[in-house]
Amino acid sequence: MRKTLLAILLALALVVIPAGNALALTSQNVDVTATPAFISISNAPSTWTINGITGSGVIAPNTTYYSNPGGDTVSPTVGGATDGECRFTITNTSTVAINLTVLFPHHTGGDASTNSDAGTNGATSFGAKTYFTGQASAAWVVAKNTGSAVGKSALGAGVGIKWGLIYISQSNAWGSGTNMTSTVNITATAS
Amino acid sequence: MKKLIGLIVVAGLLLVGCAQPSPPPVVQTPEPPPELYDKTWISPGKVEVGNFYPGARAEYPLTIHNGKDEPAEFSVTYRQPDNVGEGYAIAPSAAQSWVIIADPAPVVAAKETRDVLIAVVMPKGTKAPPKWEFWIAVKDVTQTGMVQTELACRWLVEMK
Repeated sequence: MRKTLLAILLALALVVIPAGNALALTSQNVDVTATPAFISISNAPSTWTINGITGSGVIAPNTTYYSNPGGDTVSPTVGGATDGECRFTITNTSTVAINLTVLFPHHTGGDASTNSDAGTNGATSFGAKTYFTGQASAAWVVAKNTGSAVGKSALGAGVGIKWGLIYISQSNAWGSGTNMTSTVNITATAS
Repeated sequence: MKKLIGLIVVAGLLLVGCAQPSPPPVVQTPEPPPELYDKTWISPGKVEVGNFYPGARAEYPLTIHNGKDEPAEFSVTYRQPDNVGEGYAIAPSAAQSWVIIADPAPVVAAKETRDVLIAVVMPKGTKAPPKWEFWIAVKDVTQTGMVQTELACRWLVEMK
């Protein structure tokens, strides 16, 4: 009778202590947690015609172009780009600070000029960089085909910033006479 | 006889206890601030996975909101991160095949909010750095123009 009572008590104890928790120490539970944040950005304008701000829109080989409202071939201030030298405005409408990363993929069509990923041009390859207002030239980040470094880190929630692009056309002459295209991608991630 | 019944009850309870699956992740779904109603956003910003190991599975829903006044198609894709957090390595190239995206091309109605389940299932016998990162990128493919935006959720995985 005593043994039966013991068995019933043990059974009750197992009911009261959740078996899942009791086994958690020895099982291989995976922990998943998430930051309850909302990631959102806006960017304007979404267009840039290289050499089309004050120029003809025709791209010459071996030439550096800027998305600078002051002139297609006018460099932003090397000591620190100003708002007036930036074409684009990006606003962090997220609830948290974000990092911004810019990719400038290889062209398709025509001469299919490829991104050197070095910020410099060469035969059949172009270079690209980004600059954000206030950044000196040493901080301008190479915009790669993939794997760019963060262009602007920890942009605060609700904060807008102006920015621009630099494009250095391939060093050799075009051969195809046909347009080529590339779409720049700016990615926002939580800091 | 009574002892036998007692033992059967105990054994049954033990078996039931062992069969209980691990509890699902606690999904926190805070309300977005009202000013985000007409903005396109994703949530969460980061998913942290701990105690991961070959043969394990982790999942979390990615929420997408279309802030536009018309429907938009989104691409939801695995991304090798362009840059990673301190102490983390870029995900192994094989990791792309470990990630399951329930709906990689959702068409989201105007002002609609939609969940897309993301799961990472690491096969047994595969290897990964102690801490690795990948991104789930969300892009409105109806965007036009030379400069387009993308939102990405960072997955930070720490191995057991």
